[in-house]
Amino acid sequence: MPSQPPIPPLLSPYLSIAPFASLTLLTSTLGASTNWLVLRFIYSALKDTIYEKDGSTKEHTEDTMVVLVSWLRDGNFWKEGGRKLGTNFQKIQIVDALSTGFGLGAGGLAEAETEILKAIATAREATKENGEARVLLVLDGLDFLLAATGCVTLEIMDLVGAVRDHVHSTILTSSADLPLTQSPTTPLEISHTAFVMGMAHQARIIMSVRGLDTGVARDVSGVLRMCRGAGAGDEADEGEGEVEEREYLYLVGADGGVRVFERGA
Amino acid sequence: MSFRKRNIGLTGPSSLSTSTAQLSPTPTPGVRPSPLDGRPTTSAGTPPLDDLLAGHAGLALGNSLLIEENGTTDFAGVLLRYYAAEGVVQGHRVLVVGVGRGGGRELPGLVGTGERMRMRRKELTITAPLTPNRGPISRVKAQTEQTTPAAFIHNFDLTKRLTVSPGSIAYIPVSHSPISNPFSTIIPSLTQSLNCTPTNHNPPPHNPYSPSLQPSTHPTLAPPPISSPSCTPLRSLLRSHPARLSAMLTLPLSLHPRSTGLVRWIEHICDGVLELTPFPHRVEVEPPSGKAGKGESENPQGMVKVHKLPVLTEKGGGGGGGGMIWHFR
Repeated sequence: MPSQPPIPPLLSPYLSIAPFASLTLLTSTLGASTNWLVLRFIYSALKDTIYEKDGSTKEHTEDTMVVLVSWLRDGNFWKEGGRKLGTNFQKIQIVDALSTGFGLGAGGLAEAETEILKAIATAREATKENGEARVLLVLDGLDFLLAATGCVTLEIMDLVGAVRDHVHSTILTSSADLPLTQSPTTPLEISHTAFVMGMAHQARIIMSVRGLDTGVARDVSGVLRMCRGAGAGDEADEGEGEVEEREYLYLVGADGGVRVFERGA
Repeated sequence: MSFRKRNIGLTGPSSLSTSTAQLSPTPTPGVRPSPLDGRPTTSAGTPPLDDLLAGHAGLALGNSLLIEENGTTDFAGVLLRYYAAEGVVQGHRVLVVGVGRGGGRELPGLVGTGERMRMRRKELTITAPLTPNRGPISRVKAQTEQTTPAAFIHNFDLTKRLTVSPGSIAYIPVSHSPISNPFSTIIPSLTQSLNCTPTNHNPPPHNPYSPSLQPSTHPTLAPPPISSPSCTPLRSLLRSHPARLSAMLTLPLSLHPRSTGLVRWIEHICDGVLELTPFPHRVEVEPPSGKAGKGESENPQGMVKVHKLPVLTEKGGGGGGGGMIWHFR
């Protein structure tokens, strides 16, 4: 596979900065992770030029900071992946919740909320002299708190609501495997389903990643599906913010490069 | 026209990964850099299992491998024993969770050097034997000094027993109290034994292995706090010791089916997930772990499905979905 552009052309309309106060939901399954997608969202938010739908580019006018909170992956993992893309880590505030374990201990969700708000404040502080920066918040694996602490779904949704108030837009990743979301019976499955459904209703766009339905292939890593979420609102129907519902295949190469293509292409 | 130094590879970013920087310069026995990106790997105990792990030719340190098994056979246990035996032979500290002290006596013995070479050649013709070699026992020298120190993996024979020096395996007991979370005692003792080893530049990797990691109660009855966070501290422990620790876990699927959310979370938390599905064996054939005769060795004993692979799946690569299917013998 020849080296790929950091942002696959088919994806660029979806990766451009989301409208103010929007939520983007990324769902993954066991064999198909959203990490590559998260890295590309961050890269795209921090780079200087925006790719328009028609292929033209324009300069970013506002400063952007990213706050990345990850419960399932450590900071080194993100740094390694981001460095390969050429992401500017000066502008990323990584909160390594896997190593620190916040949200899991006695402090509970309140502790998690405090930590996230602190990170957002730090990110704002860092760019104060250049005027107000937009903050993109990435919550990776928040659903894990639900599984690990047994807290109530509503509390987690409250947490999401509270931190969303402080940022420009939010990206949330969650697993959505069939055992977790189809015919929920155990408390864990019920609360997970409620969480994912609740978030899907708030989201502007849902990007789901899953393995290939027909089995494993050498040249396809998985299927990427973009859906309009219930939070897209009416204004999405006209013009700019419109979300086009598509399904593509993708391939993550050994070097970390990603190719996104149509079925049969 | 341009010239390029011959010994400079053409590969770009993959050879520059950060994990290379963390590699200590002097090699630890039983640890070698991955041919793909140079991160340190240790053997999973059996060469075919190493080959399965997405081209890294070993289990990348700081990662865990979950082996699930259907039915009542104990192939997963056999794999665990190989993993532990390899750790013992390499001089690693092996931490065992969930198996009594007798477990150490059941580790497969080492096959001598001369025979090992023979076996290796033989393996090339047989595809992926996951069970040990059952070669001519008459010529076996039990434990030879001549084993090259650089050996990454040794051959073991299930019919023999490895002599384990008392200090090399640490057993971590599991409390069976139905109320308390059994992992609340396991993780601190894991951390403790990690911390109390001399922290020189080159600490040997630890291989905790945990036969039958089982949620304490039935998943539908257990409130989530008891069940799924169990392996989280393990994950963060692995990540905070990326050059010292690897883990292998097993889970009986007949007791904890993959269709439950709980098991799915355990799978999410582990880095690699393999599912073994042994074929139902005929009555007249000896149970596989009891060592069938040579004639049976050609019959596949089951399927291996790969659901998730360490490193590769985290990056986003495939290997999921239906999973790859292999035969094991």
